[in-house]
Amino acid sequence: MKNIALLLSFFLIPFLVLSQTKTEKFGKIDPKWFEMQKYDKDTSTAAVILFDVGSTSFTITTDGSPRIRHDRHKRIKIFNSTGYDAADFSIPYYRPVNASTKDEVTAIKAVTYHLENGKQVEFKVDNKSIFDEKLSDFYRQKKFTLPNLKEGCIVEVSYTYYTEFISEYVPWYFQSEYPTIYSEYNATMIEVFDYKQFQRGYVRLSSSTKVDRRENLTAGLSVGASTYQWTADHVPAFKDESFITTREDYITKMVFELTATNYPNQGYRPIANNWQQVSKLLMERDRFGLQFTRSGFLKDVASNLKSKNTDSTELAKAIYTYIQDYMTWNQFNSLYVETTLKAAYDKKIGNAADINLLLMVLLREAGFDAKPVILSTRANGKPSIGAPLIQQYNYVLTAIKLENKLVLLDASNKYLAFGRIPKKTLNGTGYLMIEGGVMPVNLMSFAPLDRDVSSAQLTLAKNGIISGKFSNALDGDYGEGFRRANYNKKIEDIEIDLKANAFKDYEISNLELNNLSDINLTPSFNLDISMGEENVDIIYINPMLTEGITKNPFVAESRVYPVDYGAPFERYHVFTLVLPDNYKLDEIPKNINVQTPDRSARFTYSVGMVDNKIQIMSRVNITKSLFNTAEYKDLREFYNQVVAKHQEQIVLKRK
Amino acid sequence: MRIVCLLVVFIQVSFFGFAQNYAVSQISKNLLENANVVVRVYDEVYQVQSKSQASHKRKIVRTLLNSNAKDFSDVVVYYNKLNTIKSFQASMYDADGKLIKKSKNSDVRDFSANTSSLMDDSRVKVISFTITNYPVTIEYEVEYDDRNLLFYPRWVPQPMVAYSVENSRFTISSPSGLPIRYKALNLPEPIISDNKGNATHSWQVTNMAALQLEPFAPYYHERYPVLYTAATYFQVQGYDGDLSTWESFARWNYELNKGRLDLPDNIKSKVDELIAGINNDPEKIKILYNYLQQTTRYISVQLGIGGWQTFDAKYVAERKYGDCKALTNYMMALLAHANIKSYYSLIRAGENEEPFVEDFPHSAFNHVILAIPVKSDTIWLECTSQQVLPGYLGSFTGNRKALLVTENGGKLVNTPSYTAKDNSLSRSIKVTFNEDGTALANIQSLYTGIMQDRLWVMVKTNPNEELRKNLIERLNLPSSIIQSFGYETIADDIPKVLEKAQLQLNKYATITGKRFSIQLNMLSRMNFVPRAVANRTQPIRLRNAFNYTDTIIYTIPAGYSLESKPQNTNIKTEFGDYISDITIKNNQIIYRRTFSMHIGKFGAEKYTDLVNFYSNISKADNARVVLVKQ
Repeated sequence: MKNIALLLSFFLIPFLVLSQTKTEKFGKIDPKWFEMQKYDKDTSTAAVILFDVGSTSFTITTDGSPRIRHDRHKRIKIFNSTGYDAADFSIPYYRPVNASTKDEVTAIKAVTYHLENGKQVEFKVDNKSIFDEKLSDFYRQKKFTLPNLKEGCIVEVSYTYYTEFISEYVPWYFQSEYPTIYSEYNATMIEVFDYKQFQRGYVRLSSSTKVDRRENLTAGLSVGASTYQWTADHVPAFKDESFITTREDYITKMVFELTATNYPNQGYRPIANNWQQVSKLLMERDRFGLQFTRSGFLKDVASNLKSKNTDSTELAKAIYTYIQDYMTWNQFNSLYVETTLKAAYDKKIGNAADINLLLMVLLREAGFDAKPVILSTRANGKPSIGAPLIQQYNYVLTAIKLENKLVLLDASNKYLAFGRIPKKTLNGTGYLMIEGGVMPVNLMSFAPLDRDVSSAQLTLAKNGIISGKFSNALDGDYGEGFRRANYNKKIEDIEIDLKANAFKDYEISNLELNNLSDINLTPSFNLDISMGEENVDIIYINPMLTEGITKNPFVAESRVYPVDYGAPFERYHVFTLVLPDNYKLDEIPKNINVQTPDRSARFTYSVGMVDNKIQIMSRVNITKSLFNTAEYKDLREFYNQVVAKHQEQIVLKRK
Repeated sequence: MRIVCLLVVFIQVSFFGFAQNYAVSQISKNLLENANVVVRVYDEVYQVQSKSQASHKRKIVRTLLNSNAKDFSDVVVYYNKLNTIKSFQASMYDADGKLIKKSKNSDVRDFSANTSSLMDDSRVKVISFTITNYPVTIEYEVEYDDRNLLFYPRWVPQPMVAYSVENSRFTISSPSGLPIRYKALNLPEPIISDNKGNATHSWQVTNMAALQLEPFAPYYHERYPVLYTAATYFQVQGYDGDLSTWESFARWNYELNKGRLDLPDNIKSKVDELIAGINNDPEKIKILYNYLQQTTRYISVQLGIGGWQTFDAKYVAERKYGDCKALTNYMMALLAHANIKSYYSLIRAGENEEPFVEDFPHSAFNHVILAIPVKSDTIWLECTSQQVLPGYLGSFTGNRKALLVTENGGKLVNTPSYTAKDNSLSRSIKVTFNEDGTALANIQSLYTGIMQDRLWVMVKTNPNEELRKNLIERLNLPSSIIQSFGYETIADDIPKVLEKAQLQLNKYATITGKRFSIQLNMLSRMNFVPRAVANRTQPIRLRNAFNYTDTIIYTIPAGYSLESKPQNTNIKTEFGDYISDITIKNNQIIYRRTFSMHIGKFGAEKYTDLVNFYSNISKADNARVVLVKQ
């Protein structure tokens, strides 16, 4: 034991020397922090985290099982009252109602410091004011706030957190809603558990070191251990921006996944190290691969559908529609079935895996070579590239080949057409599970084009009133949104809503809706429209009508994270106006073509006049979903041009 | 300041079973019209057993006709330490009334319902159903053991639009000596019976067709059935009270909270120091309120009786935090040490609250503020905000009743109200265009009264970067760059915020060939036109009075002459007034606009006029002026 301590101190000395100026012992505060008036790297911040230090290691419980111990020590300077919420703490931990776990949060110390007449004064959080709240049947949390806050004070908190979930090695966030002067994570791993680690975010770490040694877990159990240390200096506050996937994809953090266990008596047991192993593992899981062969209950359904459809595409569609109608999604995304496919089928309710894997096995029963495609949804974040960390995946689709083309299917969404996948699944790469491995699938290439196509065919009457037909077809996301919003509504109400919103400056009537219920077709509407006043000498009309882009979505002058639209889109509008012989065209907008340097955002506005007929076409086309920060300025300027053009008017004069 | 800190019991609108057929075919046609939900059975029974305990049962059966009623597939019941759940179960039936699923204990999930407090004991139990086919019928029964008789239930049989009611019943009973009190609005007479000395009142409504969404509807209880019930005598955690008059209710509050004003010595001497040499009370109040704002913050801890009983002044003095009760009590203590008498006042805080039921004393409050009588006037203090001015209550607690808690009981008094004149936004804008239609705009906007409530707090609490982001979002211009901006807060009796901004507007003018056209109303275009409603049934109620003024001077490049300008508009209606006026002088266009709305009540037949009023404003606001190059 002594030796180890000696060894330990030997290795730890370099760290201590290095970090001494950046962290301090609990309660020992350099007076300079009281004098600090503002943080010069972010002068408007209401609080700054002076340091945030975490250390994670392993211990053995009295009954001999391993658990993770995490120590946290954090000190915050509060400049003004807006920063008081930095002194509110809630620390959740796992504690199911009917199970015993030793997960806990203990040894909470929390103190506010003032400097009064040159002396440091302390105000501790008393135990009565540390609350233990039951959050749900599985989680509780410790909650407290620091007393006696005043502008310029310093608050300090330390606690120890234990968890028995070896697979949940405590992640570390270098970044939070307040800026951090110094963040340090010391992660000790022991050879019994092999973790893969990866970093996420946009802030560069200052240092990364690793020290190997042996550690006595308990008397007589000495294991090889490694302590990693990562540090970051002057980490800016994390701020949300529009057009991003999820905070978790952008915030700077270190995350871990257990990839193997190596118990002395069991040897090295990989959990999953590469895609072959992940694939094998998934195929052996009861709530995944083992379900695939248990599809006998679908035999009759399959042969029935087969007897009605001879063409293979028609058969695939019929099977898709059958599952889509038969099953109801319970709103949960999942990679794994809830219990069994049979149980889900009997209940007619299931999570995304239940439904899509039912679809897969039914397709197989009918003779298709259907396979699962696993992925991480946009809200779940981008999986790390290269390293197969199975916990990062939370969704499964079904894939089949039709006419030599890969088709992805999701039957959990009742509004989705055959061959379309929902926007939430458009997130980087998915993996098609094949015999003995996987094949990467670029999910973005399956993105539907979100398309808004409209046309106005109008005639100007001699009396100055413009009237005609307006129609609008909505594909992809636009269509799904329109269908969802109007599915249960009476047509009269839809017309009233259109009149009160988009068409408030026009008279409309005779609304017709098409394909609102047939999900394999594009929903659209058309209506009669009229506008204008009688007997005016000059008529101004904006040919975009309700379809113009009236505001640049990118108001910020600069951007920290890439712009992620999720999917490409197109807005196409055609306007025609037939003039009577008592009016003539006086002025008309000019043609224009605008594009970003790599042509991935394009705008075409073209104008033509044949005899007494004016025709104008506008097309805004965003052909990729991700624009990096270097392209932001161009994208913003692109919108400026579109917005300006979409305001232009046609001028007509009475002869 | 958006803080509500007296615990209010969540009231949902329950039963006993007699076997009933839940088949959808049994629903009469008129109840299906415009409905998403049909309440088949609602039976709520509140049995007062003693002044400190009641049994409370509710059974609700709702048919969900379509997916718009999806939210009702989660059955949600609230509870807390003083109001615990004895049993809770739910079942689902198909369209034919056949039982599909019955909940098991393991289907009941339990969560904390604490959303804003550091700690409170509000909790929620949920049973969720996944619906495969509509229509579907969901039935649930819950039984509470209620030990907080400060609150009796409120019954609102038809709480929302698109919600029809086949049968709804509320029954309340109490032993002799504990007479119940009630106020029934738009309800039939109750059936009163006596069962071994237990007086029972029962109300029932049937066959109520679904209401439609009608904008500018009157306050709900002006037209629809609402039943308020309340105790005469009650006891909560050992504290006896009498709710029969406002005065007696105030006395309960007084007794519950008295004797909590002792300050530690260091705070006493701080008060002495702060007010040394000052000999007028309003000035002392200002100084001590400022001290409160500088040294304390709002943190809420509400457990059991702690929902109504304040922590003592010492607690706040030590921690420098508290909820509305504790901070108000602490402020009272600071004032008391300065020999200034003040009163703890209960109020129902919030914007657009339904009017207060003055003639029916009941526990209707959710917040506490402080009233200080000064000569003939009263100074009101909101003790949970670090920003607001002493004496100003704004839209959160202004213009309503407060219950003053005094040593002799208490009384209802009015808080200050703010009129259209007080609540205004006036903008003065100067815009200079260059040849390509890009402009420099100099904007000064003065917000007063309730129009500045949010802005005031925002300006005082946000870093510049956030204010800049917020400004650009609020201005809602097609494409602009803020060159400079700033705020001044003006501490008048009616507070004001002056917003100054210098902007570059990219291509604000549209240039097509030789024409130069501008959207005249730059910042206050009316983009709302109320939805047309066929056969409006309810009268119109306009709840807020306000007043906008815009003056914009546009300077345009030389060489343009006017081709077309919109007509001046002058609309005077009983709802409000609107004027827009355009003058052209040399190379300047002067645009003036005023828009004011009144508070008022109008017949349903006037609704089309109101829609037209808005629609005309929208048209006038979207008008453009067109100039031609000579």
